Amino acid sequence: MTVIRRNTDLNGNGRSDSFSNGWETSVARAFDVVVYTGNLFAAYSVDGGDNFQAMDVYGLHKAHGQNPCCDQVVIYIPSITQFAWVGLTQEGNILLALASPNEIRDGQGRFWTSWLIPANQFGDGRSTFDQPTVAVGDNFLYITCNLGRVAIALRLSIIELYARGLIHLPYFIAPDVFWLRPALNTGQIGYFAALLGSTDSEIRDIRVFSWPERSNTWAMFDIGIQQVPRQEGTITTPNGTWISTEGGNPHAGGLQVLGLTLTGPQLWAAWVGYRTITGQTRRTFPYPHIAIAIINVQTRRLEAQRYLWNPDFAFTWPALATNAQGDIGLSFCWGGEKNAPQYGVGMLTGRDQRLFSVTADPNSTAAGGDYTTIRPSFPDVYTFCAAGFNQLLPGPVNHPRFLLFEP
Amino acid sequence: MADKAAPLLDGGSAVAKAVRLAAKPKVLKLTAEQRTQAMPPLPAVAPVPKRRLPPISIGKATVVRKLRQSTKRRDPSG
Repeated sequence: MTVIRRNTDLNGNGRSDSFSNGWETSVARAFDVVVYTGNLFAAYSVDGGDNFQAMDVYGLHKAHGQNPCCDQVVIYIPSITQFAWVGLTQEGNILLALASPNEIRDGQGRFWTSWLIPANQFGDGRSTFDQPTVAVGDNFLYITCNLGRVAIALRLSIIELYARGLIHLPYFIAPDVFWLRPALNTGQIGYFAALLGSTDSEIRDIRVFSWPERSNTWAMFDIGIQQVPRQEGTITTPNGTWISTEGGNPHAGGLQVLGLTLTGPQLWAAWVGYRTITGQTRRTFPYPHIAIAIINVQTRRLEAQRYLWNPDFAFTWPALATNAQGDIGLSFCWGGEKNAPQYGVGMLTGRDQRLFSVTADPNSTAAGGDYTTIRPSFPDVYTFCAAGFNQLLPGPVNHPRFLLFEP
Repeated sequence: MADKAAPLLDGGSAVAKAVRLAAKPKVLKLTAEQRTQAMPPLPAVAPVPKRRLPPISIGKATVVRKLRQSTKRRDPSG
């Protein structure tokens, strides 16, 4: 039976201005130390996620002559006992900072070792980075991001990071894709995936990239999936339009693999599908939904495709992670005509495969974001931590949530 | 698409810098009620289709439970 251990509203108790820029939430937890990031804030907790204290995002960037932009993300690297905090600068570069749980606790979140990864060392030398995402393998920290109009995958040696000196930056450019996601829970092979198609084209394939940690080459293969419904993605709620795809405005979650994690030989990839397939008049789904492909990376076959859907409301913004038992956890948002946008977590495998709404605010106007996050909570065997937000009237004001749950 | 192995590109290197950030004494003090507000768990919001796929057709065929690659494609025009 799933138990929610923590459900902390970082803007709770009337402190509605503390972390109001709570878009694009991300979180990692090791022992009782939690690092939580939003678009333009960062926070830490030393009591397991009950109380959070702000960290100096601007100071971190200023040390490198940069200004913070957005798209911060955090992950824990168990093998070297370090949190990795990654952010995008206004100048279009990536900033990476490392600190151990003890350093965060003892130094009150002030002491970090950081690296500036300049975009002009990549690609054509003129493009800038956007939307970094991260994952950890046995020997590397993986970062994927946009570089101008392409996507790249970059890996950083964990040994070099631990030495806190010079780090090397090998990478590849992923052909024909724009949104590239690294898989969580990889070991000796880094995996990445993207939906193969653009805003206007049909999406019928996932492109999977493999990058063995002992190799200096990468490879890719395509997996056919059921055609992704790409029409009618707007979600309207009692408090107005939550997500609009009118006029060709894409819901980014409908274009990219948002959740990607490995369990055994299975690569689980999650994205958002809309209602209707291009060229058809009949709706395939009554609401936008979360679609999941389960790909066997050894046989390179699609083992199954699953859908999280409901006739009365939409599911969107999926994130996936694997715990130490190999079970898959989900972080998501939901809402529809009769339901204000809310944030939730749940399990996709194991004995209790239920989803839980962890917010229930009728005055919510929005929820979600590209960085809705779920991670295994180190060193627990079963437990996940997760981060999302909803946006509450009056204001509206963002309310980032920290979740800790155990299936 | 067949496998394609390709060499890596070199993004150069980056040098570490130790930084000391400003202290931010902004502490969020939550009430006990807020700390524990989701215990016990909330009710499920939706049925998760376990071994049951949506009773909605995609293209010509009804969605199948296990979709093998050899049978994965369907004609969307139909």
